[in-house]
Amino acid sequence: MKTTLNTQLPVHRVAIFAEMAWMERRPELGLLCRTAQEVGERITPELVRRVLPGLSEPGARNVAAWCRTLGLCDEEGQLAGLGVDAAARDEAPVPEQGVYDFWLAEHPVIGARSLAVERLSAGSDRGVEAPRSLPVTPELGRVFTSVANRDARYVVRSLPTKSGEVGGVLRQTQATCELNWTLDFTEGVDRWELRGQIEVPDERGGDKVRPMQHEPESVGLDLWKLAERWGRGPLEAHGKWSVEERCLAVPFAGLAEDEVDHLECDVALDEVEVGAFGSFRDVLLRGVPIGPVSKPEAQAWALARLDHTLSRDGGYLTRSEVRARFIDRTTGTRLERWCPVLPDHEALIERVGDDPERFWGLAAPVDLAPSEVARGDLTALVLGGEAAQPEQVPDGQLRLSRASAWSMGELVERLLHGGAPLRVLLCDRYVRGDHLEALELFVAALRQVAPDASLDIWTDKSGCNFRFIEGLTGRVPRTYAEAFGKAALHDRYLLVLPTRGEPYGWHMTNSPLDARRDGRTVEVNSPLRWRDLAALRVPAEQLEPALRGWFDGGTP
Amino acid sequence: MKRGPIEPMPLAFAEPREAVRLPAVWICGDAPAALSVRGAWLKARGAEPRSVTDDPMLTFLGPDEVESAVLSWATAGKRVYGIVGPGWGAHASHKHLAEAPRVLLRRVAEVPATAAVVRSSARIRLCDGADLRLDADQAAALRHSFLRLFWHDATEEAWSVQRRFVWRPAAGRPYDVPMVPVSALVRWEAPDARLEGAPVGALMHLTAGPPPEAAPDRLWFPPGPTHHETLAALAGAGAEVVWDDLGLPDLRVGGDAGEALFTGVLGRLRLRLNAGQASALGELLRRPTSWRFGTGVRLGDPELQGSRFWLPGAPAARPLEDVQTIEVGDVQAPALRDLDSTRPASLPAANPLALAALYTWTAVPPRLPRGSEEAPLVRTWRELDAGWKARLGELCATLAHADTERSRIGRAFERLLGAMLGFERTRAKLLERVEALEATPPSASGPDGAPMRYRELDALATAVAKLCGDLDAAERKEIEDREREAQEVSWRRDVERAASELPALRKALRAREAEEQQLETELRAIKAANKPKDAPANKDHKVKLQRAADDLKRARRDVIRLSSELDALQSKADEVFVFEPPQPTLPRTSQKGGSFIPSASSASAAPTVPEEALPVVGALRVHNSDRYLVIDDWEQLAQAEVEAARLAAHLVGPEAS
Repeated sequence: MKTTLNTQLPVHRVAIFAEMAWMERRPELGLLCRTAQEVGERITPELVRRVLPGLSEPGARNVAAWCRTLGLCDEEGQLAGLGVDAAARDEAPVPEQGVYDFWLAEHPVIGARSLAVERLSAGSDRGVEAPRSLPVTPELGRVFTSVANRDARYVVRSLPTKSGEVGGVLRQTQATCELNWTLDFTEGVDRWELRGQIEVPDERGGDKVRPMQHEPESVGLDLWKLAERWGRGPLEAHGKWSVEERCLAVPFAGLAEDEVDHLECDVALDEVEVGAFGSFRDVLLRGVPIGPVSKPEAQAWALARLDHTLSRDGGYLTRSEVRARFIDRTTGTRLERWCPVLPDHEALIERVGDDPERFWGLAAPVDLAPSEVARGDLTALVLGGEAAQPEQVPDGQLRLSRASAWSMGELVERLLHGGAPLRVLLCDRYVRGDHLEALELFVAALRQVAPDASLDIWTDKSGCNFRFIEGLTGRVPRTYAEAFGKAALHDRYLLVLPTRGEPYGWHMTNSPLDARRDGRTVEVNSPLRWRDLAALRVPAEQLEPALRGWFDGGTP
Repeated sequence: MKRGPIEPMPLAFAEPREAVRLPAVWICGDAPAALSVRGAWLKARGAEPRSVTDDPMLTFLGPDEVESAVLSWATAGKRVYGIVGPGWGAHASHKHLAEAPRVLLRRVAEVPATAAVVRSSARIRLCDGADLRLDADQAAALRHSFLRLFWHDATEEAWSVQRRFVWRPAAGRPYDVPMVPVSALVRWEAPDARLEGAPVGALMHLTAGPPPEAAPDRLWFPPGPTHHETLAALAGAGAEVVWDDLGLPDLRVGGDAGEALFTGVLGRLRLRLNAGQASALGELLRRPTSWRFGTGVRLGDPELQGSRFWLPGAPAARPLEDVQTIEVGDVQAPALRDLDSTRPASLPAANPLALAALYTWTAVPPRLPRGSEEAPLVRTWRELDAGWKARLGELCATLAHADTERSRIGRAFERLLGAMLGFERTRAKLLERVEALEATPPSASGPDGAPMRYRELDALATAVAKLCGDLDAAERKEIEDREREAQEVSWRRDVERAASELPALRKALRAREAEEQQLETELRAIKAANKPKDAPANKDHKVKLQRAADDLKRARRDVIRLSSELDALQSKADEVFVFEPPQPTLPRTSQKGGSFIPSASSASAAPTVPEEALPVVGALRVHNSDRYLVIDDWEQLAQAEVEAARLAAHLVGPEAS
């Protein structure tokens, strides 16, 4: 959630007699202040002699007194704001007195601010003797950075006056100034910036106008508290703000597809108030987190997001892939707490019956599956509830679901049938990213069962760290392009050449590396969180020729 | 004896063949009864599936009509998954399928069978009239093959949109389908797959490929032009080889097992049969057939009348043929005399299905080869005759010219008229001799008579030359006599005129000589006189002197001239007559070739006469150094044979037109 508040600020140009201090480069004072920061935040003659060895004691006292005069520290030697600034920038204020041309603006966000200052030449102080009251009195002792020249930094030390009332000569100006205040709720930061134009002296003694140069600054607002206040105020007309979820509960009807998918919307507000910083008009609040107002709305919302995903992806999707997409599009979102339900297969394809491409994309993979789809997979999937326990599967099959809590060691042991293989091949298009951590577990689990067994990896080259895999397995991975050319396989395969018996392979609907750890640490026997995975044990003759060739050693 | 022109002669020969036996042949007899389907496994095509569930139907759709069972399943709103091949969609029933709401089709390269699976119930089309019901295991295997083909091999897919199948590229499969094991009851195999079981004791039905190596009890094998030897061997080993095109796939049924192998270009579907199916198909394969394969079949067998026979290498089966007329073509006769007894060196094989064969051919006489040339002998004789004729022509021309000359001389010299008559008689006799020689040229005289003829010709040429010479001599003599007479007359006239002019000329000479002496005197006188002193007198003196000198000089010239003329005239008067022969006249050019007298060289040239005479009949020609005596008519045959033998020539008819 983010918004930008804008307001125009009037700029006043006034000639004022003032005592100023220009920030100039003084590395020795910067060193002194930095040393003071290290040893107790105080500038003392002893500290001066320590920093400047060889200086006499009176000299050291003079230096300390000069620091007090410059305002780097107080009378007690305690480091002041200017001292901290000097420590950071090696710059110290050098005082001077005279008549200056001030550009002044004021707002609760920026305070009484001197935007820029120019020295006025002798003779240009006419009128100062009969001053008029200042429209804005700049803050004293604050380091200002000129918006006309970013390198010019200065301090208004005092505004001397005879009558006790500060005054100056008002001058015409073409300067304009706009306050842009960005509130980024998601990031928790606010940044304001001055934009506009201002006069600067030209070569002929006149003025010329140039854009302002201002580094953004922050006032350090608590933005979520602000959002809470707005929720009770201007946002109320758009929905119900949830403090806990930090989102706006809105009706599902009328939401755009993009809003449904991203769970965000833009809200236009006539006027908002930002505490002591005043109110702002015509505010557009972008990316407001939104969520459903009820369970039925959450269900419709979740299915709409699934529909959008299926429409975008197109093609044929297995029931497992549909379930995975539903879980991906719902879990961790503001929909999950409403426990939305993925309808059973028949109900789902009836929902898209008017769209043949989507209908067949869902129906055909189930109707024409090589092995019958598990009944549990076809039933409705309720998120947020108890995950259904995997069904009993016959010999020669394995089935993992999100309810399975198998460790990698357990999976490997079942895949190897308790035997110690000579060689193993994992054929998986995606061995990269998060899967590399699971691959480490897989290799470790294999080593537990068969320390001498070799492991080959065939995978897609794109985005794959072959060196990392080679480091794990000790063998150079083979690319899909090398192994299959253009006829790449869709599914994952684990081929096992046992020490005794016939070679066999596992034909898997998902990667055995698609597992996530539950805790911070993970070991071979640690339970993992799995996605749906069905594996069918097949004899070598039912494998593709490229895979069968691996048994004959026709691979690296 | 044959008469008329020498031409090709048509001949014929008839051969009976009823006893001939065919070693191996397909025989097509009466058509069998229509196929009847009954029993638990064989079903009439299109019967409704037994399942009453809403389970989806998986179906292989062939290019022809969609099964009514599939249509009814689809129109009931149940899901139907179909695999079709290229070009599917043309049949009207295909459009009916598009009207169903839940039909998903995927296109593959080939669908080698038509079948349908609903859960554990399945049937596959055996032929146009029968489906084979599959058991549960077979249905599962067929489903597995369907899934492999559907997900792995499809290139396009379609579902009905507004009652029309809209095809698009096939989307990617959602999973891999394991390969079908070799032991599966239903399995796609390579296009060259064959039936696996042993043929011995089995019933086999093959639609293509070679026959089995061992003999089954009964072999259904498509009749054709090939494999007859193998089939004969199988028949010899006890196999009954038969055929009817029922549209069945390859089948092997033996005992309680069997297999079917469906036809395909890119792959073949193998179905292993259970005992019930094997029994049902065994019964089907024992039915009577229209085709049978026979060995040692006698053509004249009355039972085979009306049958069709397919012989090895023949493009199709054909019926028996009563008489086959076989045109052998032209047969070259070795000699003219052997033409009517000429036969082909070998007769072509008759149609194996002919009960009799009638061979016809045309005996072609030996003919002069194309590109022949006239024989050198003929040319030599023709050149001799031509030379002969030319010489006689020259003699005729000479005699004609002599006659012209004789007339001219007779007209010019009357004194020679008598002699000219004698010359005319001589010329006439010579002309008669020329005509006689013209009638007998050298070729007519042959090698023996020709030299004598040439001697006669030489003698005749000599006589003609003499005649011309005599004419010439007579004319020259007459001309000379006439010239002499003319010269004498002229001489006499000149002498007489000189003698008459001499006196006058002498007198004139003397007068002038006197005048010369007087002038000499006068001149001396003038010279002797003194030369006057005065100028005019001197001038006159000089004129007188000059005039006297000029007169004297003129007188002396006249004396000399007159003396010379007097001498010449005196010589003329004293001249003696001398005859001067006239200059020879220019050669006469009116006769072609110069003198009309024949040259001696042509008369004395002795031409070489060939040693062989020309043939009496026919034309003698050569080709590739061989002589050919060409005759046109059979009447010339006897004499031509003699002449051909004499001339060592081939006796032939005229060159083919």
